[in-house]
Formats: sequence, C-alpha cells, structure tokens
Amino acid sequence: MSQNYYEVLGLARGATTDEIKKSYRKLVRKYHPDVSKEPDAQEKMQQINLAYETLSDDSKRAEYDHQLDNPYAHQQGYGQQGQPGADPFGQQYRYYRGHGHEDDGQAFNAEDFRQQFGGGGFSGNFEDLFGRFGAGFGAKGQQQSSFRGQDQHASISVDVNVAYEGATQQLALEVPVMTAQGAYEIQRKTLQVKIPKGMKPGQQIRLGGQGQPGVNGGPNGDLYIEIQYRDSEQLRVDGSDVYLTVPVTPWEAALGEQIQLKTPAGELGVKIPVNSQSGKQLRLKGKGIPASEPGNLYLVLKVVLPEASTEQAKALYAQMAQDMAFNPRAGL
Amino acid sequence: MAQFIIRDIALPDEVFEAQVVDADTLFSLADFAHACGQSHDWVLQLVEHSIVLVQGTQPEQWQFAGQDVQRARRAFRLQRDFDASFSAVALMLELLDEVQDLRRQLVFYRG
Repeated sequence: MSQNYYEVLGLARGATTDEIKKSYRKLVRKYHPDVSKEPDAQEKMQQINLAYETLSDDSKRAEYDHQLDNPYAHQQGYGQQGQPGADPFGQQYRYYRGHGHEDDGQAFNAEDFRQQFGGGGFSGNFEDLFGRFGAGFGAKGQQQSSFRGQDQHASISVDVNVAYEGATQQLALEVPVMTAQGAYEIQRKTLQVKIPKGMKPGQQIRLGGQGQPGVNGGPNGDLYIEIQYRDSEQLRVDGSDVYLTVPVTPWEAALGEQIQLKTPAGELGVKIPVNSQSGKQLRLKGKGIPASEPGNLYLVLKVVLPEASTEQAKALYAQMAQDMAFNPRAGL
Repeated sequence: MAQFIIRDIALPDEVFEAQVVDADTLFSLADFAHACGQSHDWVLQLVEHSIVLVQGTQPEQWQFAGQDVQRARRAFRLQRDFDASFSAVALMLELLDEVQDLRRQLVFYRG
C-alpha cells in the first residue's frame, strides 16, 4: 500500500498550512535530485511534489481529504499518474520513459507510461516541461513571428557495457506540445538512437531537431539526453573510472593466484597479489571507460569465506585456528 | 482543467546519430540560452557570478562549453526550488562539487 500524501510529507491529517510548507522545505533539502545523495531521490522528490501540490492548495486538499474519507467512491485516486483523468502537470520529473534493452528492439507499449514507478527495464526522465518546473512550454504559441522550438532535456539509464561498446537504444518519448490551434497535446514517439561509446556518466548527447516543434515555420528545437549508467552491487561508474567488485577465495587472496575474469572491458587474466585483504583495489590502467584519455578499471577484492558446512571444512578451519597465530583484533 | 490529447507520432525507421555534447561543443550566448531554456539576461547573470566560465570578452563573442548546459540547468533548478540568489547558487554549486570530490576520495581511501 503506497503512502498517502500526508504520510509522504510526514504529517498528520490535521496539519496546518505552515506545517505543510515547513515539512515540504525540509524534504526538498533532503531529496532534491541536485543535492541529494539518496539513491531514490528523484522518485521521492516526485512524490513529495505531488503531495505538496495537492495539500498546499485548499480546494485540492479538500477534494483529496474527501477521497481519503471515501476510498471506494472513486475508481482512481490522485496518485495514479498516467491514468485517464489524472493531471499530467502533476508528473514533475518523469515525462519520459525509454524502453528496451540493447539492440533487442523491444516494443514499447502504452502500459509502460502508466508504470511510472515500475522497476526493472530501462527508464528515463523528461524534466522541466510544465508549470513551475518548466521553462514555459508553448507560452509563445500565439505569436505570429516564426521561431525555433524549445530544446528539451531527458535522461536515460543504460547498461555499463554501452560505455565500452556503444549501442543503439530504442527511446520512447512523450513530448508535450501546443498545437497551432492552441490546444495542448502530448505526442508520443519512439526513436532509435545510436549512443556512442566512451560517454561519461552525466554527459549529454544531442539529437538535432528532435525537441519541441518550431512555430510558424521555425526550426525544431534539439533534444538533449543525459546518459547515466545503471550501477549494480558489483559495478559502479565514477567519472571515467569503473569499479568492479570481485569475489575471491581466501586462498586466492592469501597465496596470490591468477584468476580469469569477465569485465566490461572483456575477459581478463588478473594476478591477485599475495596477502590481499578484502577491499583491496587493483588498478587496471586504461581499462575504464574508453576515450582519448581512458579511465581505469578498479577491481575491488572481496574475500568470501567458504561455509564450514561439512566435517572436513570444519576440520580445516580448526586446523588453521590451531596452527596460525592470528588475532585480527590485536590492535583494538 | 485543460484537456490533453495523446497522439502517437510515427517516425521513419531510422537510427538517429547523436552528437556528444562535451568541452569541444561550443555554444554562442543565444544557443546556450536556448539550450538552457532561459533568457539571455539570466545567462548573463550566470557569467557575472562565475557559475559558468566563457571564452571571449564581449557577450556576442562568448563561447560556452557544452558540459556547462547541465551546470546552468542545475543552477536554474537550485535557484527555483530553494528561492536562492545567484550568489547562493554559486556557493551551493561549489560546495556540491567539493562534496562530490570528497566522497570520491573517501571511496578511494577506504578501499
């Protein structure tokens, strides 16, 4: 069960306007995507904005309270974005969703737009298009002179392999436009985009002419797409450097053995130095994100103990305990 | 409440080549302002407060580096969402850069 708007803002039902404002400001400081270190900041911020937009407006709040009190009277609540009748202006941070994986040409379907918070797959954000989060979309639509359509910005998360090999990605875009008749319209289109290799996280690519349509014969704006890489527990990208966690056995770490390893830079043979502790980083120079000045690939060793699940394993550990004078807590 | 029409646009089945926006991608003042979705005056303030650096002496000769589009947009969001002045935004960005740098060093030295 998702949180209601009061819970999102950490408030009780009877909260005053002042309390709502204070709580909102505090949460913005914590979750603003430009300052937050929280991994889910963007989604949190979106929920916080939605909650605040409703609760800070007396009439919207009254309607929302009524819905809370009569949960079965409405088929769809305020929080169901993308559903018919929902407020598209409410979707502050996510106007855009890419879909599909590398080269698999997976078809986009309308359902994906409705699963704004759906996990998995490939997701992106179309920021700053409407309202106070926008740079004034379509506001000049009534003028007679021709001018260039607005540039638009989106971001996508792709697999780290794209940094090494490049890829063609299928991107589904929802572009809000104002038509010549002055009506609002959301245009849905799917683009095949070639993402070059060697992009650093946060770097942008530009697609000429794929932004907002020009007005009165003016040229279209451009579409800027920020590339981010999906981190996993094993893999993290920092600038041009890539960090890969590599599980090793105690004997590989202690005795220093050569291991074969699949990395984003290809399959590599790596010599583990003798007496490597868990957390030790091995730098493979130039094996990070490829560029004229390529980054480094860091292997972060993680020593994994085999379980003492058999009599023989227990005996081996007991033997070590007996024969090795070792106290890791000697310094405490 | 305005009504919205959702229209599906069919595009030719072509693969779009993307251009990488980096330090070598230079923008004039007009193009930079357009890419940021802001006015010239707003961009002038960014330069005035050294939030972005430019090459060239006169505004009509200025050249902005591609990666500063994101910095400028970030500045705009901070200004808007925290009701911050340009000076405060400049300070926030410097501190955020420093925090990011320190976090990076922390990861390195912890390893």
